[in-house]
Amino acid sequence: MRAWIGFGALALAAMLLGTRADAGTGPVKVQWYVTGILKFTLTPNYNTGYGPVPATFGTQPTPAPGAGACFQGCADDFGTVIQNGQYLYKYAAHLHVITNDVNGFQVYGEGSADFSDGGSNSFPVNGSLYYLSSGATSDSNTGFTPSLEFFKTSGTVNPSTPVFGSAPTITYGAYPAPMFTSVAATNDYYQDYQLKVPATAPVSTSEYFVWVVYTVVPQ
Amino acid sequence: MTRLRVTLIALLAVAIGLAVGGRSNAGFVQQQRDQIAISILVNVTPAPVADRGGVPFPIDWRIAMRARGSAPADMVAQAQSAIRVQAMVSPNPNATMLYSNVPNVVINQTAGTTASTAACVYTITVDTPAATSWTLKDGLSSDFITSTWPGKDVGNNTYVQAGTPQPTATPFVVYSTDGSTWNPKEKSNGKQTYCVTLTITIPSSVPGGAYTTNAVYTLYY
Repeated sequence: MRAWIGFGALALAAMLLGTRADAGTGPVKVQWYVTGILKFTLTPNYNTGYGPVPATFGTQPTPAPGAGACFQGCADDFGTVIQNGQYLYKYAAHLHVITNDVNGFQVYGEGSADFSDGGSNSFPVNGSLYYLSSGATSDSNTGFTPSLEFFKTSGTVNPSTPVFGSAPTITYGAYPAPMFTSVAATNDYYQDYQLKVPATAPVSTSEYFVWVVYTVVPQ
Repeated sequence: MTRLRVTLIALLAVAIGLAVGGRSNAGFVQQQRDQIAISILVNVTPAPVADRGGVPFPIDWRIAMRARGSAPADMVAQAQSAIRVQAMVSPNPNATMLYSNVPNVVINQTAGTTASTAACVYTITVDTPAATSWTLKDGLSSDFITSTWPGKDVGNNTYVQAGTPQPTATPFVVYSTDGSTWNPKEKSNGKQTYCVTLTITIPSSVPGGAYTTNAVYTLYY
């Protein structure tokens, strides 16, 4: 819209100048705005063969996702895990970002809360949930591949107590350390997750969950 | 005749030795019972470099900065999306057979330096029935950076928590580059808790950033 307004102003100026061609010449300041574009697509379970495997060296087991997972959607469902168990979740998240910012963008990723069963039981997200790079169509990671932990956000979460059925949002006063920094305007990131269940995680008949919130900000 | 007798006696001795040795080896065969990992995260500050004076920004940077200076006020602020991660936690009767007091260790250090963590930065506890003789093996899962920052640059001083530290730290073996084997670290029985203090050397060539590996402990009995 602004571009059209700018174009109209230029045309009008040209007409006025045209009618007074004898008035002389002078500099014309041209200004325009470029509307920002930021498109972010987040896809869980982005490749066939998604799902959790127990941490082991050598030959890797076949992933067995929980019922809450589905191809290129739903949740990253580790299924039934045991206390003190360690797991790798293959093809957990694909982040696809498009901007027109010449300086690229930054990605932040945090837990909106600790793991909760929706009742009184919980265990910390930091020290339990980790992320690591994966491939678009192949994955050689194991449950012992080096990774970085997710932290519980210090931003303002809405709703303040996240619910199972709908994704919360995070409002930041100050952003945390970025998960990724891209100098390119468009980029893709592929992630696996690791879950290290604390030995003290309370056993519950309800599903534990945490929403991992990704935020993309142009630089 | 004498030579034949000597040979027969020697063969008999070898046979007895093999039989006895085989039986005792079979008695000491231990199986892997549990395995845990402690994540080691090192935030590396780049090695300081000499000030070469004020180097001007390249022209293309300045153009980009000017372009950014005229950037629109209505640039989209941010985009947000979320994934739900879920799991059902079930009991593990062996959850306390091998465990650590922390899931990870974070170390902030400058490249080109060697430094130790706080004493007893993490503990490893083995808790089996008193009569169970066990072996605890350790090692790192991988190097920080293949060929330029090996895991052997991490030393561990492992000692019984109630005891005193070892005189020196010993380098970890690295599973991915040391023949896929672990190092037999401790042998004991019943319950025992070990303190671990890490000493890390970071080559000066390591760029700033976050690097991780895992200290893996495997229990056999």
